[in-house]
Amino acid sequence: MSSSAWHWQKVLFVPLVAACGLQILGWITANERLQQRQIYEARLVNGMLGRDLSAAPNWERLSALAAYPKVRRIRAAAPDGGSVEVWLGWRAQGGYAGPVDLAIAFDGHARVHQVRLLKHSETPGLGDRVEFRNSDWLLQFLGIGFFEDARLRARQGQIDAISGATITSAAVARGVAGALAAFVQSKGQDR
Amino acid sequence: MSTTLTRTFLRDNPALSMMLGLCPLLAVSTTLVAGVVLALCTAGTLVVSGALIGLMRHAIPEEIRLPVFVTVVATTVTVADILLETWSVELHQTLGLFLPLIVTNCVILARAEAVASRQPPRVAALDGAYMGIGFAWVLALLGALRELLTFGTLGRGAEEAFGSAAAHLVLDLGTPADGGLLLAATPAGAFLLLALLIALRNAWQGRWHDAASGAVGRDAPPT
Repeated sequence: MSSSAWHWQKVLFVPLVAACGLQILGWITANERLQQRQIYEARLVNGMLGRDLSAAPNWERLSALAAYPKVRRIRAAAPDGGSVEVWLGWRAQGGYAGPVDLAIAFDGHARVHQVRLLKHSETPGLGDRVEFRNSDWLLQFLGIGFFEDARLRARQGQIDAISGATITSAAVARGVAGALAAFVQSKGQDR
Repeated sequence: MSTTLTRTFLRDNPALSMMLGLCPLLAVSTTLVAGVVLALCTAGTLVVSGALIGLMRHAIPEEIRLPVFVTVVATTVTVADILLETWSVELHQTLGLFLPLIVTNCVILARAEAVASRQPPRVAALDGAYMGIGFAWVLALLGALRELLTFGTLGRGAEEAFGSAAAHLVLDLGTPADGGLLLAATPAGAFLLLALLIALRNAWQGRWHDAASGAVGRDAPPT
């Protein structure tokens, strides 16, 4: 009887060893994963600025806004000579499978310069068709300014949803509208 | 030799014959690259978890073997998840939810129960490799078919998965103007395509049995 009890307890080592091993692997790879994420974000921003994707990132990192501590801000030179501010990690709630994290570039006139999806868990083949590499859908947001953002708010607005990805489309449109309002507000505070 | 190959990869195929692991098969076979990468992760998980369970088979109490199997499989999958993130964030983003969901792939639990828990690690790992390859080629084929029908391309996303050198491996037959066949992008379309593949396999097996047993007409009973 006692030997059978010991038999049971021995198995408790399995999750213990697994948890310790995973934690150690997490520590070992932490640096590498951070590096990969930075490469990914640099490629994304390069793409938004119309630069060569693998170009070295030469842009200025701005300090985070107090109201949105998780949004990373970057100031970079725009292809037309002006300056563009990129917000990385603006969270749009209400995606089909959770929040959708956006990367949005604003031009000097507080208009949307480019929009990309930074991180999401939408369904491959359906929701993820809003992604830039899968369709031109995100190009609809180009040039929209704060005073035109009613176009984003209206449920049946001028942003066409992708059929089969209507919830994702609506979440991204709402997210862009929210980011635009926050951006204009942050500019007001700067002055 | 050819009998072993056909037996392993066609007759006893986990996807086409045992109908196991259909959930990831239908969900992630949207493109060739996504299918291949998920299949590689699944095959790796099958081999590693099979070997581990084979090693531990005498220490695992009969009554709680399933929680132990799932713990081992989940650990292996988490390792694969971390390593893939180290490899390419873009790819990790593409597979998204479906990488952790390998844990629930019934091929893995079925092989753990049927083979790995009764055999030495070497045999269990080899069985995992056979099952993994059998699952992988169906996933890759389904991914290729669906990508062709949805996007009109073959191998899109290869650059993110295998580096910029793979960029010119992408075959572009011209994306359809209206965004391709929506049905092929949905799990329902994947079901239909998979059904066609299974029908083909069954037709082939009917012929195979006829040739082997000399029987005419219908499938010979399994022996």
